[in-house]
Amino acid sequence: MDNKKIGIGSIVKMFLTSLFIQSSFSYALRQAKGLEFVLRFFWKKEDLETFGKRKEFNTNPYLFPTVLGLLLRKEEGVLDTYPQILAAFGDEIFWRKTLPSFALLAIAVWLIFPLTGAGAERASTLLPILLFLIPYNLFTFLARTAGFFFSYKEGVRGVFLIVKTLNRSGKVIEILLLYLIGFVFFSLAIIATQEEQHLIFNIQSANRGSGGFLFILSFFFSLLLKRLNPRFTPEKIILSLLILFIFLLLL
Amino acid sequence: MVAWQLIISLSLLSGLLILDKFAFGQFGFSLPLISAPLLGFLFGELSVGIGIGIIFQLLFIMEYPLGGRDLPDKEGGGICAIATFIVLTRHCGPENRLGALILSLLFGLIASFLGREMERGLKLLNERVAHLFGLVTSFVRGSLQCGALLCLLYYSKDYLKEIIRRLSIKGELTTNLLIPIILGSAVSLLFPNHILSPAEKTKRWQAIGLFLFGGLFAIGLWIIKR
Repeated sequence: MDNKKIGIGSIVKMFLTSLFIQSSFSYALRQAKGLEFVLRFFWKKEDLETFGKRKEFNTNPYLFPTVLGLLLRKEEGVLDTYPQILAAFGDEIFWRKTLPSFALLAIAVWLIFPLTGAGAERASTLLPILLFLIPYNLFTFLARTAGFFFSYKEGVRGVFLIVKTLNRSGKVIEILLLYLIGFVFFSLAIIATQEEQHLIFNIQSANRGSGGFLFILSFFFSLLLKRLNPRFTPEKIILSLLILFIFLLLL
Repeated sequence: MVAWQLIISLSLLSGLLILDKFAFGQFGFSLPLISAPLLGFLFGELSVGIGIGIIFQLLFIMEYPLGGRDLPDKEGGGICAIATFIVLTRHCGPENRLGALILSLLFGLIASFLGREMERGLKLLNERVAHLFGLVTSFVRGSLQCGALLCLLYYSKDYLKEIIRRLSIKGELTTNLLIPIILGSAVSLLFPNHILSPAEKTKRWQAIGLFLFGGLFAIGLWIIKR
């Protein structure tokens, strides 16, 4: 496979145009109009005419640049397999693992720090949303740019490299997800059993020491379950936590 | 701010935030966890915005659009819930905030299911429009969802006032928000992709979900009355 050169201008153009890939998402065409829109910025008119109109095109929006990189290399049969494979892979990595993980991270911080009292309405109370926005968007930005860069530069080998890297980060993120689900669940359970409940989650004022304890407990519990059975999914972890919680209540 | 100004500004902001759902970017600004606190902050209801955001995020935390599946519109639901709360509290006064909150969570949930139907219509419409016009249709869809709901609330505000007054139980607003949080999070965390998504909805899961929902509701009421 030949290596192709790529400029920063192309990456910027790819990033900006790929943001619009789903603008006219529909049942019949999916992202086909979006693909045509993006290709207009990269291909000449005659290339577009040869390419023709797609009847359907669908992939994960964060991994669309990876498909685009292959298309720009004009490799054979790209649209037959890669969009579907990357769609399933991307949904799993970005929407099933990464998005809930960072959302729960922000929620966990809101659970730890009290939101009642004089400081509750201050702008600084909004800061935990950055714990979602920054890591999530950084991750997707890297996936978009690196996907485009490697698939354009190295073709199919680049795609495998991206999938391999994302798969590894997915495993780390899954552990974070399991841990955070455990933490949020335990926190809600503790708030529910307190004499005086506070929304949002003033566990610190009543149980200042419990935050750290919860962190450690949830962490080890999630890791233990993962260790016992690598196929433990967040759903199974939650069920196990529920059973443990009921058992603790009965004690 | 006059009521119609409030409704128009909330509807326009809702349309802008909904654009991020799939029409532009997918940065996450439309997620309830981000959009509800932001709207809450802009209209002076930050802590309730955060509460509503967390409830709607947890409620649908494990729902993900696998293969472009139609899911309840958590984004629209969260935005409509906080917008409803803002409008209702302006009308009903601070002493009835709890009632307004319960009603706005209910309206938010209804809006999330209506939003799914609106999105289906939008996806059919998008087949016929030019690519970038999809941004306009998405914006209009978001604004219409929130705007229509708020107009309906505004014109029935006198009837709703009595309901809200009755719903408002004595006590701290913050204390009572616990019920929906426990309900929402437990139901969605325990049974992701089963209760709320039509694709995998079965009678068995529905029965378990309803049983759990009822049980948790009873526990929540007991905790509050204790």
